[in-house]
Amino acid sequence: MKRSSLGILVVAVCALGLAACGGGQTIGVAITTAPTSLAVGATGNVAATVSHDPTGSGVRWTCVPVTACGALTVNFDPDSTPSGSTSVFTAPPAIPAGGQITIMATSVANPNVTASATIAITASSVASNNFVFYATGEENNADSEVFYSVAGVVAISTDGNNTILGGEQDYNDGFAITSPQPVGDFISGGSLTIAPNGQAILTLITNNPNVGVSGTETFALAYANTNHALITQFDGSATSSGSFDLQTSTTAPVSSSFSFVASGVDSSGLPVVDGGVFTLDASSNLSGTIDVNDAGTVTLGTAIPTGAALGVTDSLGRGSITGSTGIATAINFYVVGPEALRIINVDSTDTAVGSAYGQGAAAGNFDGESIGRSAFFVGGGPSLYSAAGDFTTDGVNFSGIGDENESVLNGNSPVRAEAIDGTYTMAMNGYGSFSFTDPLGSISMLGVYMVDPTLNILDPNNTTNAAGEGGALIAEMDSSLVGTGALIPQSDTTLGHLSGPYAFGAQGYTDTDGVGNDEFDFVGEGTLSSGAFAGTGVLSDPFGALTGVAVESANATFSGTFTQRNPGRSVATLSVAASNNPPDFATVDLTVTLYQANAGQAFWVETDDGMEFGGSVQSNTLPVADLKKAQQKNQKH
Amino acid sequence: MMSRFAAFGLFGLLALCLFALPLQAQTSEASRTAVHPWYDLAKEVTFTATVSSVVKSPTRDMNMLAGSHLILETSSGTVDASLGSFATRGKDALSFTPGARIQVTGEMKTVRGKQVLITRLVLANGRTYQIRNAHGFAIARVPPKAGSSSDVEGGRL
Repeated sequence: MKRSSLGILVVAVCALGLAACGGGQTIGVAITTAPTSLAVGATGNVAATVSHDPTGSGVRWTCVPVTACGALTVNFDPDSTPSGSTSVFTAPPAIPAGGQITIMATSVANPNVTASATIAITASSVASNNFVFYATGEENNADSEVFYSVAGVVAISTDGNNTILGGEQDYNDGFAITSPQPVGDFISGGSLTIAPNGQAILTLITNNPNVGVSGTETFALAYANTNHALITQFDGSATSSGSFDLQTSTTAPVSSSFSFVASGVDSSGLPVVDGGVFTLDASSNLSGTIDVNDAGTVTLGTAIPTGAALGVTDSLGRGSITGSTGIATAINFYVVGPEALRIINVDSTDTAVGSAYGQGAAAGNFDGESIGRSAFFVGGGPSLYSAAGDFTTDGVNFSGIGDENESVLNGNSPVRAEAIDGTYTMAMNGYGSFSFTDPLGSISMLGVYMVDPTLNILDPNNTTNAAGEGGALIAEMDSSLVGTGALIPQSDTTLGHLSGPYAFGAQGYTDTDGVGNDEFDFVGEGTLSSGAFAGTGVLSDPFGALTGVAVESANATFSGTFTQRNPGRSVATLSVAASNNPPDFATVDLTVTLYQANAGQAFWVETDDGMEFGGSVQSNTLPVADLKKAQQKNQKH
Repeated sequence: MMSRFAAFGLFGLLALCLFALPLQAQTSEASRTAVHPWYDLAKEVTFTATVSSVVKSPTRDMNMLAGSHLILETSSGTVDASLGSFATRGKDALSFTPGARIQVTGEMKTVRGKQVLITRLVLANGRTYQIRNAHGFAIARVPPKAGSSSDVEGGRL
C-alpha cells in the first residue's frame, strides 16, 4: 500500500515536470514560430522549442476547438517535431465561431507541459464562389452492396483558374465510413477542369483517407449553366449521381417553410426514404410532419418532435440539426441558398441524403389546385427502380400515363405507357399524397410535398426557366417500393421543342451481372434536334453493370432518335458507345422513355427488363465562350 | 436446369402449399395500396428440403433474380430459392453444403416466367437466418446491437 502511494506521488511529481524527473530542471515548451492570422485553408509554419528535455523527444502539435480544427490530426505536417523544427499548419476550411483557433505544442516527454498560440482565421483573399454538392450511390465494395451519401461545399476561385481553395464534406455509408463528426472531412485542394461544352472533371483532396482513392475524390460534372451541374463520382472507388450548385447564402434560414425528401439505407442496409414539410421559426426551430418508408414499412404523418432546430452554420454554410427529428440521430445540412438545403444523415449505422426546398410566399396557401399538369420522376438511389410519367389534375383527381421499371428490384416486368389515375389530397401546408386507382407498376401511393412555385427543383438557382418552376418533392409510400423524386409543371409536350444543347445524366442498376444489383451512372452534354439526340460524356461503371466490363470511361457517346408516342412522352433506343480505339467498352443499346416538362427539362427512364436507369435532361445555357477562356487558363497552369 | 424447374410446375407448388404454415400475420401498416404487395406474408410457404446445389452468381443468360440461389430438392420436386444479393457475400456469408437439410420460408412467385421461392427465412443447423424483411427486401447486414433475443438472426451464418 505504501509502495503504491509512493509510486503515485512520483508520477504526480513527474507530471508536474519537476526537477527530479528531468535531470535537474523543469521541461519547458515555447512556441517560437506561428502566424498570427491565416486565411481559411492556408498554410503557415509553426515551431516550438523544448528546454531541459533529456529525452529530446520534442513536441506534438494539436489544434482546438475540435469543432473547427477537425478530429483528424492532419492540421500539422508533421504532427510531431523535434525541438526547434518546423511543422506546416493548415488552417481549417471555414472561419470558426469567434474567428480564431488555438494551436498547442505539447511536450512528448511530459504531456502536461504545453504552450499555445492563437491564430485568427480569415476569409480567403482570393475571390471565390462556393458550390454545394451532393450525391448518392454505391461503393465499389467486393464484399457487399454498400450504398453511400456525400454532401459538401467547395470554394472555387473566380479568377479564371478554377482553383479549389478549400471546403468540407460529409461522407457516410452507414457501414464502415462516416466522416468524423462534428467537423466532417476537410477539403484542402484539388482541381476543376472544364471543357468547352460544359463537361468537367473535379478532384477534391480531403483529409479522410477512407474516401475516394486514398482521400482524393474525382467527380465528373455536366454543367447546365455556370451555377449548376449534374455530378457523378468517377474514380472507381464508388459511383453515384447528384447535383452541384452555386451557394448563394451561408446562413441557416429562419421564419420560412420547407418541403424535403431524403433517401438512403437503414442499419440493415434496407432502403429507406423520408419526406415531409417543416416550418422554421425566427430561431430556426423546426416543426412539421414527416412520412417514412423504411423498406416497405410506411409511417405517415408523424410530427417532428419539439426541440429540433437548424443549428448555426459555419462560414461555408454547413450546420447540424440539433435535437431529435425522429428520422436519424445526426443530420447535417448545407445551405445552397435561402430556399435550398442539402441534408445528409451522418449516423454511423445508416445513411441518407436529400434536399429541402422552400415554399416561399405560397406556404400555408396550398390546395388541390396547386398541382396542375405535371411531369414526374420517382426512384433513384438505392431504390433499384425508376419511373416517370405525366398527368393532369382537376383539384381532386389525376390521370395520365407513365413508364416504370422495377425489374432489377424484384423481377417484375417493366411497364410502358401505362395509364394511371387516382385521387390526391393537398393540405394548406403543402403536405399531400397521391393514391393510385390505376397504379404504375407497384406505385400506388406517393407522399407529395409542395415547393415554392417560383423555385426550380432541378436547378434551385435557375429562375430563367420560368416554365420549370414550382412543383413538389415526392417520396414513395408503398410497401414494395422505396424511392424519392419530384414533379414539375408540364407546360410543353411537343418533342420538337426540345431543341439545342442539353446536359444529361442518369443513375442505373442491373440485376443481370450475376452477383447482385450493381450501379452505373453517367453524365454528359449533348444536343437535341427534332428528336435526334447525340452527346458525349462520362460513364461510371465500376462493376460492369451496364457494359459487362468494369470501366470508368471519359469517352462515352450517347445517341438515339426519340419518337413522340404521346403528348410529352417519347421513346428511343439509346446507344451508349465508346469513341476511342480500342473502345473502352462495347456498344450497349438501351430502351428509353423521355417525359418532357417543358422545352428545357425532361425526365428519362430505361425500361429494359433486368436493367434500369432514371435521370434528367436539362437545357444547357452555358456561355461557351467564357468556359473556353476558363479552360485555356486552366491549361496554362 | 430450366427444364427441371418447369417439371416442378404448378402441381408441385400446390403440393408445397398444402404444407405451408404462415409464420406470422400481416403487420398492421398505413396501407392504401391499390396493388397487391410484391411480397405477401399471407402467401408464405414453409417446407424442408435438401440443398442440391448453390448458384452464387447466376449468369445473364440464366435470367434469374440477382444474387445467390439454392436449388432445393423436395418430396415434390426441385425448387429454386432466391437468397438475394447479400446472403452469400462478404466475410460472414452463409454457406451451404449440397446434401444439407434446411427449412425455408418464403413466397413462391413467378419471376420472368419461372417459379422461384422468394426466401425470407432459412433454418439451418438449428438457427434461423433472416434473408429478407416482411416486405421482401433483401437484408444487407445485421443491424448493430439488434438486441433480438429470438433465434432469428441476420443473413449471416
